[in-house]
Amino acid sequence: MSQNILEKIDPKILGERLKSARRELGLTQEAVADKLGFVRTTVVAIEKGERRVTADELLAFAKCYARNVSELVKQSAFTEALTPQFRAALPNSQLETPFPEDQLMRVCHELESRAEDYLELEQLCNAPLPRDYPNQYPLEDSRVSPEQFAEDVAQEERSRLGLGDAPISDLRAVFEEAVGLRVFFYEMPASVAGIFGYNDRLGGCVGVDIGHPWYRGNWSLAHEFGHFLTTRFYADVDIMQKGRWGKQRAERFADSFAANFLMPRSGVNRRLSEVEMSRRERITIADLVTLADYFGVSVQAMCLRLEDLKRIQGGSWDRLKAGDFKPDKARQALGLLRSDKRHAAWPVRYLLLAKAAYEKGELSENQLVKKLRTDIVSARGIMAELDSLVVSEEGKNFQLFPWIWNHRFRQSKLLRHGRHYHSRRLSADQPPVQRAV
Amino acid sequence: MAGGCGLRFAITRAAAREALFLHDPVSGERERIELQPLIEEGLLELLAAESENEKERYLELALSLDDGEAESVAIAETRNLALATDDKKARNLIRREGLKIELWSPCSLLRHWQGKCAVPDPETKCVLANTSNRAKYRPKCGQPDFEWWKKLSSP
Repeated sequence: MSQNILEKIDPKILGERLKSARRELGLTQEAVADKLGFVRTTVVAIEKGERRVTADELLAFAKCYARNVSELVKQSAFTEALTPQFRAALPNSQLETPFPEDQLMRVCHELESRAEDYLELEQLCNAPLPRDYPNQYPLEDSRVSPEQFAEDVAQEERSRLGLGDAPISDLRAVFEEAVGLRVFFYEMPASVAGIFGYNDRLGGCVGVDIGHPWYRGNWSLAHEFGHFLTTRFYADVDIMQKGRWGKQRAERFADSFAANFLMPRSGVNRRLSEVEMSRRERITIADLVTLADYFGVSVQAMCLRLEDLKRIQGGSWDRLKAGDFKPDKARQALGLLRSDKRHAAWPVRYLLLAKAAYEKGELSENQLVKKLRTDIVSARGIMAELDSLVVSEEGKNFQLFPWIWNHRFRQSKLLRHGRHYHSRRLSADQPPVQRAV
Repeated sequence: MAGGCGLRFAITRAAAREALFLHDPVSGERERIELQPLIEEGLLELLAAESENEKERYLELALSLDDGEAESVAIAETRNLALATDDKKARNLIRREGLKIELWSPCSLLRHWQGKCAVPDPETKCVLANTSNRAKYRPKCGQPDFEWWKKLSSP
């Protein structure tokens, strides 16, 4: 039996996994050898895949690195396909204050690990993610400014996705379901907004900070989608630091793309005209805040967009800021409640695949727990809530592509950061934000 | 329950690492599960794969199961112990590989406890409600003791 199991594991793959686990803990080979009572050359040989481990040694390594044995011996290849891309994308050379590389790499590893889990669930359920990727738009070949190029691409993508020029009520659903991106929201260090990575096997993968408000998450999603459209094969780590990007074309494009995709010129102009015509007066701060909410962006983004479209005076945002304007208070005063929401951590489809795999017995309970990055009781709670939603909808077992349920699903308690949209017209009794911009 | 139902209980080291929290149904807060007092009282025994044979079997099972389940199945198999799990993947594997392991489920344990200790229905009902609320556990429709659970849980 010994021969069988240990021969089933490729020593090179196992060696890589052990090396990666050791490095994540910041341990030297010598320290590990001391701790486990080995000589250093044994650790070196095992990590290089030149020597097979014994069962005892493998269990000792797992304990020393606080890793699950099942993680170390699992049969999927150790790919870390996105990691080199991310390492190359780390923007420390462009930052005024360098960011700890290990923190950034953890964010990158987490995206890759979630995307790998998603792929594994699809394989277990035999349900590959449908992709509808456009060809890359060649930013480097374009003869216009990145901003002009971004507006053209945003229009083309909106048209391709059938979005017209209306606000996008559920941006994430568009990217997940209509494009086929893998989108995850999870905790990131302060000042990391989002990351993007791509390879042919995993497809486009986007990670966004779950701590950001709903509208900020939208911006990051659209920004990373901009990278996907133009520089797909180069990973991106978006760090918010003043003056970071300077005049980099790819970043200017991605930001401008986000603005144009979320707030299309014609849609914003039309909405603004409706507001102006209905009251025959200048745009007020309340209009600005409501418009921002309507298009699912921050007040700052909307204000800068209106400046850009020359619908309000240049420098308006700076003046508002100087006047101690508080967007959150303004939203509250207007009852625009979705600004408090957060995006859900997992794609709905991911949860349904996990449930299907678990119920088929393809995933054990603890494997389910790891897929959901939670504890057993919470995982059971999530499964129970999926049950109640699915059964109450159709009165029968769910299918793997219940897109029709998504809206209902996203409003459930399970996804408690759901996107409720409360459309509020301006009313006359909102004095705190009724000043003209 | 552990003391009075005529069974001895044990948990493997890997499974103990995975049994982390219960949920407070009112506050929603997570409450850490403390196994140590049970172990010290002798109500629960902590087991680990010891022999070479057990360790290899553990590794082999870890190719398809998670650590807790893999170590539990390995030890149950080699030491001829009964295993209480309702994990479908683990149960399927045991059946598929024809392992000679007596299988229990958490629900059948509770039913055994009620019968053996002649626990009155209202008390059992309270335990089931706690299990359901704090551990979010309830048997699935079609499982052997589902009807028993359902009958006792109904208002």
